[in-house]
Amino acid sequence: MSEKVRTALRSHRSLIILAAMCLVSYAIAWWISVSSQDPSTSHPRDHRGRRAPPSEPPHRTEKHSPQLSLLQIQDEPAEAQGEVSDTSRGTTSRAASVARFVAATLVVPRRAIGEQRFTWILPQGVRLANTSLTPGEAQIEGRIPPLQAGQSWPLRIEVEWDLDSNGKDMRAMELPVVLHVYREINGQAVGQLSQFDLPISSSERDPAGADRTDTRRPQDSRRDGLSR
Amino acid sequence: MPWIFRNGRIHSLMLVGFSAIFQVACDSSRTFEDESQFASKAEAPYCAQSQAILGPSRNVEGTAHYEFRSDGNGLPTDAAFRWSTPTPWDAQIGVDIEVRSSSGQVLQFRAAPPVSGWSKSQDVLAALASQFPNDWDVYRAGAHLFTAPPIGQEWEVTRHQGLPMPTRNPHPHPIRLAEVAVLDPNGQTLQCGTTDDLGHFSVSIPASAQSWRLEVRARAHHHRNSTSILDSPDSNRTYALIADASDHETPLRLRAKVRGDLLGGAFHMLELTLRAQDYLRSQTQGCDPNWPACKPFERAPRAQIYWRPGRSPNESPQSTSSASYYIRGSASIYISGGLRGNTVSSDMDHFDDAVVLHEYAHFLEDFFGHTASPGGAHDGDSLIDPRLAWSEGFANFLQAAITGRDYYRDSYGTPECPSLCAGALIHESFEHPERDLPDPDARGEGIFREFAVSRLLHSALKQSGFVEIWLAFQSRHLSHQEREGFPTFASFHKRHSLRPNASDWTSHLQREVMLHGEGEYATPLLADTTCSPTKMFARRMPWDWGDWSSLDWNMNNDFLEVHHPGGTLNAELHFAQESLVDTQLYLWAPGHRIGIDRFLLAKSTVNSQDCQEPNCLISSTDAPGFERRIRGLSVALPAGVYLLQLRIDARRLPVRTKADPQASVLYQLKLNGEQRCPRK
Repeated sequence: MSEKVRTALRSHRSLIILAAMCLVSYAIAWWISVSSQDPSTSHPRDHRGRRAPPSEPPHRTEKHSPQLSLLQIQDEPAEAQGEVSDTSRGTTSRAASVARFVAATLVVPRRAIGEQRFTWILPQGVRLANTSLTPGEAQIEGRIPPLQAGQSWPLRIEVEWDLDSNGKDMRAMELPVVLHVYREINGQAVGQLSQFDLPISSSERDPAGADRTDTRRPQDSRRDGLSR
Repeated sequence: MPWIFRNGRIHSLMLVGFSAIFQVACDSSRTFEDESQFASKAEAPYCAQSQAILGPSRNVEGTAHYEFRSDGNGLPTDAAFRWSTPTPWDAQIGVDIEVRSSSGQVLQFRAAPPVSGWSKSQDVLAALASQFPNDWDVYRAGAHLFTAPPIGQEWEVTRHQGLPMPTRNPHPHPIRLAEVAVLDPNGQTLQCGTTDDLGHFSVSIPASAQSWRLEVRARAHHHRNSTSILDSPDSNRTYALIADASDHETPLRLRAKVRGDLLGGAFHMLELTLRAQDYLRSQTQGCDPNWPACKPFERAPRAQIYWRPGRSPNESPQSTSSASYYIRGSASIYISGGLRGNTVSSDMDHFDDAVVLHEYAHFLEDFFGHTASPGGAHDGDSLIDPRLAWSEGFANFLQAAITGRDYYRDSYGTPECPSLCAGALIHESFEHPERDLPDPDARGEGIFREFAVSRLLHSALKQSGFVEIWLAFQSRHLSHQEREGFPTFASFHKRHSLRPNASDWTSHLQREVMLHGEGEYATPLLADTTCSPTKMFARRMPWDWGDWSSLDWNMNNDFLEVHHPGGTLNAELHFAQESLVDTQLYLWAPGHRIGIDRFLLAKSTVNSQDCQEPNCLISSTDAPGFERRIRGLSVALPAGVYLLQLRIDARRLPVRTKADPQASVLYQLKLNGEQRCPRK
């Protein structure tokens, strides 16, 4: 280091120390701000790299929650629940196979409710598959009787859609099956929707389809419960 | 000598620089405590200053509009023609339609029936739909066909043989006071502007400009609004209508659509934030300057609304429904744009004025009011924490005041579903209520019900105007000592009634089963050895399962405010109770959410002892036939204000929807050996 530089450093030592302190202070402030972030909001990912649902941050003022719990349930054998299963269609010329999907839910009111209506909304290209269901079970629409608080009412539907010869979906778009539970008040539906995503078939037939894990899981929407 | 040391000027600059960085770091956490809630990429700087144009220039002018859905889930405001089949239906009918544009262009559509006739009335609409050019937006909703003309052209129907004259969907709204920017091919911002109240914009660009891009952005930062509609806290990208500004001679006509990319949702939310602030400005203009809190509203601080079309902010692969919410202290609102890509048959909130303004009201409350709402879920028809009921009730009220409506409406679905999927999660009138009605026999129950709070404020607005509500609502200016530890509607009303010449809202209070001032929650405790035992009248409602989520807040609980000087707090409860009920004490931290363990400071010991004279503060004559007990808790605490909850567990009782006129529990309380009485 040249003498001129040394001299300059010596003469401005206090300023340099002050600048270094500023840098250190800023680094500490940055470290504190990073380390103090709520880990619940850092969007962790699960083992498949999917974004895990963010846990509820503190002081979150939510919009009004529905009065009915529409709990999606898994009450079917694995091969029929939420997974594509190929079924021979015999000599059908348009499609060699179909995909099937079972959506099942429990309607659980938080308070006693009067009679409700329900409608399963199927996307274009998806139809009712009622072969394995008893008559009356496979309704696209119907009524739910009055229920007491906590009492449950099961709803279930089996749908199917065509696959082409390569096992590719022939339904129009990747729209879900939606359950609409409602009652009519002054000519308008008052209720709620519950969404069931249909599995997507790959363009090539996927022998490992049975390993898919995108089945519906039971979900308990009651929170903050603390039984004594 | 190296140049960096010359004259010491660089040192000074470095110091100023570091100081500035540090200052920014400090400032960012000063406004809101939890602003660094999310790791964020900074939002792009607001387009503030245009660059001078050297050489010849030309003006780029135009208008920007956005479409939305009336009532949240109604028909789009896309000016589409709505075609219906005639009644009665004739299967042999032929259709001959002619439409003409303002520029003289003519389109003709003809559909002749098959030899055997139309098999159903919808077939003729399907035949018509297939004939419209690709630049028309053609869609079905229910039994109707909609054909929306291309943007920028005005069309009229000049012939409609075979079908009734179509009705017209409403026209789109102007994008008001939104940021306008012109960018060069490298993405450098060269010109800035703002749309006016009619959606017009005009910016100058070099006459020789090539490949220049004009953006009308869904954000604003000016004297009337400071809000950004962004995609997510991770990327902070702004939504924008984009046009090629280089070649256009005629005025640009831009429109954010309600279908497809759903950009209309972003601009509708921006418009709502502007409307909210315009309302507050107009209402507070003439407020009484003799009142300390009177300050005409100017502009709300900067807020972000995070929203993505087809996505719910909290969605996961398991979510069955979507949500919208505000995170206190963050100035960040999260609005549902659908669920996992579904923008047809899901619960979307971007066009629900009530939901967007409700969440914006929480943001305003955060800044201008004083909230201690614990947040969380609430269904609008339950007894809830009164701090939550106040916050939610005020937000329900403010959205109605801003929109001029007398109801709260949260819609779902669209008319474009294959079968009925459009409805309302809540459509609650303040004038003809159906939900959250307080039990007239349950004294003071109203403050535990959010819609009771909303209705009262709505009635007060009609009686007294907005300013009186705003004056009592504003409490940001109060010192820490002056603020209530547990703010509720009662705190708000107390501030209101202390104001000279305040309106009398007694009739509204009575209708909503509310008391004048405090008493039913965070009741102050007075040192007093003469008070008689406090009585509680237990109920057992069918929904009371004995857990925290079904707490009978009013009848089966007393909440007492404890001002503790620090050190050990010993609370001793002397009580007599009827059989089949049990009584416990809980001590909660100031910012608690009831039922969450981490906020629970102490619970009374399970082992109880008999309450025997002469040490028992309840005599056998006070409650003949009742078992008398003592239960206590002890905990070391720093000085502060805490909430002591006395809870009756009534789950073993048979259902009793009306409290027995005979008290179920009588109690006296000692804190650190000194008898205290609730000031009711």
